[in-house]
Amino acid sequence: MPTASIDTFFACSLMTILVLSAMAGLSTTLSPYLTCSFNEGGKERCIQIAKYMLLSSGVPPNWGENGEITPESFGLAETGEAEAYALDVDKVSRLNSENAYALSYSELRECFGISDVAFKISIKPVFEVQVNMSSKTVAETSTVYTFGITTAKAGLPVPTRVKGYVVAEDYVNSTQSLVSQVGQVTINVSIPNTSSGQAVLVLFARHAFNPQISSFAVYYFQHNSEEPLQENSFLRLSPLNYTLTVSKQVSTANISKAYAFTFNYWRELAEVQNSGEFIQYDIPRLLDPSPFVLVVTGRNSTRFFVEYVSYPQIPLEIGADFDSSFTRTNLEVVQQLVVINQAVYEFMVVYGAPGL
Amino acid sequence: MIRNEKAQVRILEAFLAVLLIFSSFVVSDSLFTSTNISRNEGLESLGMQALLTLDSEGVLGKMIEEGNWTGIRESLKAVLPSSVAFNLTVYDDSGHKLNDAPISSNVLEGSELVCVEYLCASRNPRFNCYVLRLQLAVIK
Repeated sequence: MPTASIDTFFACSLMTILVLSAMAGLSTTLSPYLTCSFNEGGKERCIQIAKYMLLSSGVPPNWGENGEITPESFGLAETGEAEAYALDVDKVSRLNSENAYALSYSELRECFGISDVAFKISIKPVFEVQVNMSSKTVAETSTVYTFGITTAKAGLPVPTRVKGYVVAEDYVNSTQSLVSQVGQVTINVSIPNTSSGQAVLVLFARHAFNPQISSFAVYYFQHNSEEPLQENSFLRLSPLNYTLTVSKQVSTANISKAYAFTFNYWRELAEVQNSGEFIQYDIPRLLDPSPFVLVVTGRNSTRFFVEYVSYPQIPLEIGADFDSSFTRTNLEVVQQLVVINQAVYEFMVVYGAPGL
Repeated sequence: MIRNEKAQVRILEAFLAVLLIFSSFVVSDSLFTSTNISRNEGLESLGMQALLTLDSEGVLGKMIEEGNWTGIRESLKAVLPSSVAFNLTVYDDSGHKLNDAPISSNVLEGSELVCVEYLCASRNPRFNCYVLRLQLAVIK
């Protein structure tokens, strides 16, 4: 290789190294100033937007109770003399797309009045409850099911008190309240062999040291039946304003009974209206810091089914889908603890905009 | 075939130069990528709200009076995100430290701390006041 080529190569290398080091130096020097002035404004704005969502009741303030009303201004707070960050159970339920009276994301954006920022709201219990059936023992008159329950937050065990209810054909029963200090407990449930078809175990877990921190899970299984499980496919359940509206998804479905469960109590629901297409039940205002799980039983031809919905209708997610976004967007996350019907939940809003 | 050695060397030079420039782009891409996650700004609000939530039914004051430090620690663990480490110290109204056992989740050393102070009043007839100092940090 001639000397001139070696010179050119070294000159190129030197130039590249110089340009790179200058860029790195400049970036390191300026980045703290750039990120501070740029991000803090965006972050502060996001926090203020979240506060507005959680502390304002919206216009009209009772927009949650009436499914026909689309709010002029968006806010999730409870009306009246509620504590800060106490959310209205109906306004929250109307964010769930499975509710017949749910608001769409475009309606939400319109009434919120923010056009330059996309957002996604999610509300969920502060810890998770996992249920697994570990064994099944068939006796002469009944079948005993054993369930392993795990309560955890991000994989870390949460000490809880656990209570369950089992609903099968013509059969409802509760389990004992058990303490799970290490986040794991086993529950035995016995169902008479006279019933058959789908069954559910409704499970509530309450923090061992603070009853306001609670969570729930519903586990479907087949009792005395080999048919495949079909979860929530015959009915659409929409709780709103302490009324459960049940609309049929399958015209051959016949509804028999409806129940409300909380950690401490359960009640059979009273039917208040039946128009053939939909049936309405009154939900009792049980004073229990716990989510409600509403269970409806029925038959589709000869097949027994059980369907459920929670009230408030959580976990829920509504808003922009940032996971599949191809555009380059800056994201900001604001997390808050909120109280709905005296129980604590985790509220998270993710904002996305190029200028955040 | 005409063998022009000078031209071949020039092509080789150009190839090496292009290779060098492209490799510099690849290197610089990883050099200038900075993670734009700053969660510390919301920590103060999160900590205050966690204490407010735990105190809403007087549970926090009751646990302090009972010396139930494990209960306070487990409750805080449940309401704070798992990526947030905390250390809580409870003082009485004279400034004496009350908790004889640590109320903390993870080691806070080396992290950027946020401190929240909260005044908790018990709901018993004696009306005791406690000062809670909660230190929070995002686990890196």
